[in-house]
Amino acid sequence: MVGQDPRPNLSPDEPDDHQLLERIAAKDRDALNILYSRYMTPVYSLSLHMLKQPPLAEEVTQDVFLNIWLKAASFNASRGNPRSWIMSVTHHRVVDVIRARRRTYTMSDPEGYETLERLPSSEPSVESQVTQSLDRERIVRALATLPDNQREVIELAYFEGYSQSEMAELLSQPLGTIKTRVRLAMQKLRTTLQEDGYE
Amino acid sequence: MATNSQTHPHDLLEAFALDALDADEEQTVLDHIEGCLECASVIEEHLQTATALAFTAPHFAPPERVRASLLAAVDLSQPEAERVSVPRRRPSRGWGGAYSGLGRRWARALMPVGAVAAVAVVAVVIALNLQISGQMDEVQTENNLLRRELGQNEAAAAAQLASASDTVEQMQGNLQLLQHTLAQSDNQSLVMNPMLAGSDAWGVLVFSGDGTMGVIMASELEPLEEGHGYHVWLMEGGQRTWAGDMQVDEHGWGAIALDMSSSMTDFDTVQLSRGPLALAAVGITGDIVLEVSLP
Repeated sequence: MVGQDPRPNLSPDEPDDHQLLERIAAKDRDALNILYSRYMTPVYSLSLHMLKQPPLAEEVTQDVFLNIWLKAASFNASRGNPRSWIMSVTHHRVVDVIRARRRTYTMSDPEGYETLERLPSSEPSVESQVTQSLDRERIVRALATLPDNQREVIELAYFEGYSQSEMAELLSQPLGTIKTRVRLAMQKLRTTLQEDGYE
Repeated sequence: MATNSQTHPHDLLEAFALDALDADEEQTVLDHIEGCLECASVIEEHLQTATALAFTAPHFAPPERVRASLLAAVDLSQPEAERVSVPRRRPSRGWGGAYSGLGRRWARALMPVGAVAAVAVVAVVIALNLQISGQMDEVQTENNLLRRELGQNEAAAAAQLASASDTVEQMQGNLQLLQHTLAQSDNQSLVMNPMLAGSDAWGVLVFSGDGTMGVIMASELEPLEEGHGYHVWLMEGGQRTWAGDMQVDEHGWGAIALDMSSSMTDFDTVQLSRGPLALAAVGITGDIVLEVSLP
């Protein structure tokens, strides 16, 4: 299975993500603080990567965790893992912002954020960074196995927030073609990641 | 639980995990997986693949102020959360539907209001347009100063420069949409009324004939502290939908362009509230400052 919990180094006395979400659902503020420490970097990083603007990414990061605070009880532990849930909540929120602003605002130069200081605080452990780096390599490798037109729709959809119908218009392709590319790309990605031992 | 395989939206599940569906398709999937464990399980698999993509983003930690602001918002949210409903899942989309007839009904009702407000609106629009242009000039000037400072303090100036450039682009976007909306011959206008005792705040809502584009311009609003802002809400039968956040300058005026996928006529009321930015994102309002009913 793709995308198991990314923190294999959790000590026995540290609560796992399911336990934290249960405590958050019971309005345990300390549990939220721990979960924030655990996920602030992936949540903020994805937001910044997609939005390109640090103030917006900060706002989204705060919104995501506030949403988790308010809706933790709606997380169904039997259906999914917390990491997927948290990151999909993040992605959904970022896409909301992108689509709301797309026709009104011009996004800033994507190169701008490359100048930001990398991991300015709360750096993960070296072991964790190595694990993340290896995982990232696997995912990038899996993306590279896709045909160009499939990788294009994945990148437009996931990182640029385009819907399938918007991509059809943007790429001047029939909607059915775009849907097929998206389906094939996701299926191939999933298979490749599984075969490559990504967890 | 759905049992007929022909009813399963198999062709939508991958795109659902990527947030790449249009609002109606997304709702179809959400409704379906309420009762279909099979599709919910498939989506979970695809969500894990999508989550893997998230981890290809370069890693940056947020500033520590985000945590402080989050915990402050959590403390504020508890009493509010019990009495305010959370907005629909995707406020910026999903407003579709057939509303033929509402536009004509609205237009008829607006005729007397429009006639009274027209002269004032034109004057206000010109004034606000000039103010936006003036602000853009100020920001451009600041931008130029920052460019000169770049050589002296490169990192700090670059960050400020990026921020100033964003502000200019946002203002340009607002101004373009505002000008486009106002240029339409069939646009409508409504005066927004102050809701707080003793407030001198006032505003104007101008919107296109089909109700999909609009502009709110307001004046005499109280400048707010950092982390707070003014929020636009569309109300329909007690359901609150967030439509955007509006910035206010030190003189107490602000404008926001509303660009929607379907008509504003789907709603009963437009409200402008003030409060913490983080709470608005989850449907929690502060004080209602301005309000106008949509006939």
